[in-house]
Amino acid sequence: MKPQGNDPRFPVLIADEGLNFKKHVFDDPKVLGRQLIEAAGGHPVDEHVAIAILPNGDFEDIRLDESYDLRGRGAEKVLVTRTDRVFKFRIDDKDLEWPRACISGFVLRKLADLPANYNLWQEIPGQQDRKIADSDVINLDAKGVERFISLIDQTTEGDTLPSFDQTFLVDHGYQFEVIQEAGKTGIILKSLVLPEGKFNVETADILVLLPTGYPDCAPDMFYASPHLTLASGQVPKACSAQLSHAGRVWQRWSRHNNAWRPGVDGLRTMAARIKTALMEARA
Amino acid sequence: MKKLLANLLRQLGMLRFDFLVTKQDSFPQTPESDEEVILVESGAIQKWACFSCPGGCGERISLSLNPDRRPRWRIETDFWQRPSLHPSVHQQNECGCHFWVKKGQVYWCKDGQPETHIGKAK
Repeated sequence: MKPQGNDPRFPVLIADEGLNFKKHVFDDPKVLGRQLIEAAGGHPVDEHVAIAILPNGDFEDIRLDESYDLRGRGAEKVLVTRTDRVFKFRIDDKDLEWPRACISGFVLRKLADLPANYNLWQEIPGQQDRKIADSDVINLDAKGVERFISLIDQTTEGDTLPSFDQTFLVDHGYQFEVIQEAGKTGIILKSLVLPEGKFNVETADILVLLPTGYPDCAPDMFYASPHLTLASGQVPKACSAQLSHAGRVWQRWSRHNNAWRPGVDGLRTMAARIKTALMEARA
Repeated sequence: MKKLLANLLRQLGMLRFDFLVTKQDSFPQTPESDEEVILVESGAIQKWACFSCPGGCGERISLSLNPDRRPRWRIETDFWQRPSLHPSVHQQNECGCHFWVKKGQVYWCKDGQPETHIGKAK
């Protein structure tokens, strides 16, 4: 915080619970917690709390009548919110607190100041840790909710496709590409020859998304690029939806799989299903 | 104790490893040493395998052992607490290394070993 020009006034950013920051200006770099709360329009003052957000992301309470030198701590951001208690938790080795029992994944990420390629996980003793999505709501009051960890997302499994699938695709002369996007593995079967004279094009790329847990779980629908229309010009049944994946827009073939045998079925089964669906396509 | 013996046997050339497993029940706060794979195990549940990238970039690698998520890995340890990881580990950062860990030793995949590696394994 620096005085601006000859006018020794000190700007502070004060946020509400939604972390919307508004600029307030004080004449003195030393302010009382009470003043910060009043500036933010908090009323009655003693039911509110002011929390300084330090440059390293840590939080520090400012008591109502504490004279707090914002310059001294390098804090230019303050959170003011209505509360009678605060909920404490840790993200990595930072001590943080939040004035409400509930917090969204989005606000947690914002507090942790995470770069986009980091994921936030909630450490749960005795259970698998939980990956926090922006839309998740975490109850900080629940027992054992106190530690979160942030992990960079830059490690992949070397062989995402089971070896029997690789063998099948290679042995049957498929040209294919394995694409990882947003944590999903997609197999693109390239230039698949379509049933003769049936569609607007002779060949198309077919995308199969592998679900979490594949090959124990079944891939569901498949996707075609370019969009296929029947020779009559009509769109095949249940093929009107679209999907963006790997920089392309795909036509969704909504064909479901109800008979998947874990440990037996694989891309071999999926390829057969795709062939059947293409053969049988009707408007 | 076993670790001391393992280290002794390694010095005598009788045991080979780059990594040994240390178990811990919560996610490690401080970075692990270069020769350690920290296995985070809480209750009977294996959660994470954490170690420093053997490519020498110094990045920490944290592998999820949750069987219901992707990506996911499996870890096995032998008598000497030497870890084997499955499948291989492929880093998407500049280091870009790609390797297997079998019986505590790093095996580089083709084109998976960065030039600046710190002389681990073969």
